[in-house]
Amino acid sequence: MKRTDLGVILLTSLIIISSISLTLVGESRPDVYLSMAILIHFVYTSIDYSLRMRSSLKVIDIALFTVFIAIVTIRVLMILNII
Amino acid sequence: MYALEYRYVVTGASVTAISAVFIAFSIFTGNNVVLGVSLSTLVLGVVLLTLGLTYVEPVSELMRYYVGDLDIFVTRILEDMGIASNYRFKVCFNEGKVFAVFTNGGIKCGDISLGVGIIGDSAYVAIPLTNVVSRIDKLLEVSRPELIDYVREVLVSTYGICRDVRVWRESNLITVELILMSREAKQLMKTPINPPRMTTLLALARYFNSSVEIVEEDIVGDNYVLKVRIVGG
Repeated sequence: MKRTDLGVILLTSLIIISSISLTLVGESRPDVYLSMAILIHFVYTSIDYSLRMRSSLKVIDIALFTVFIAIVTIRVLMILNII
Repeated sequence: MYALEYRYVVTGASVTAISAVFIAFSIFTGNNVVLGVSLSTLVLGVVLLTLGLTYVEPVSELMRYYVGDLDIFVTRILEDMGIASNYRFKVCFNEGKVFAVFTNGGIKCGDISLGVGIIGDSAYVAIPLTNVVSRIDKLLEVSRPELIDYVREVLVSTYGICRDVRVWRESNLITVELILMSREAKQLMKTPINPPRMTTLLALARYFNSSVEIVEEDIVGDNYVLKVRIVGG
């Protein structure tokens, strides 16, 4: 099995496990699922560099990071009762 | 330069499309759990799609440029030896020495040594294949497979030059058809060194423990047909 295939399978497994776990604990906020998936993507691709070595993930990284920052910002503003 | 990995592109596009459908469904029905799971899988689909669209093997990228520079060097040598437009290509397998040989005459492999030379009226350029043959040697260590299985193991499984091979043998003439050459292999064919041709001849030379030479080569669509003669010595 190619190194990249293993990396893809592991990344997929981690995202699925996190989604199932959040569903089982009754989480109903969609942004939590999205944030977890984004975090898993960044953490996994930082630890296992095989995916980054073989492709250019810069654009998707910027997009996902932007979405993550937006989610966190909105949540913080909601907690502070600003929105 | 990106090579595209179609498996990831297809998988990523499928996952993204299915996620988009479920996102639309969850918005329509107001189900936040389905929306959340769909967003997770959307991230996965988009990452896979990007991976497939921008995929490139890092070391092969380096080697491609290195082979390109080597080809310029070899072409210049062939021109200086006066055999650039009329060479015959063979792989000499003789007493543990293995060379890829470009020559414009019928020089015996036993007379050839590493580098460039002239024997009689014939000039030659001999490039060593020591490292490449040691890699192929490992495939014959355990048992002696059938010729077609061995050629398939080298060209398809090990080096991914093509999708499949066909082999015909008529006494000392062997025809090898490389079916559906990969895009990278087709690019490498456009050079005098031509690694797919060299690897095919080397595999045959190693299998028969004998020198081999090209009789004829032809490109038919995405297939590459090589007719090779076992010359011995």
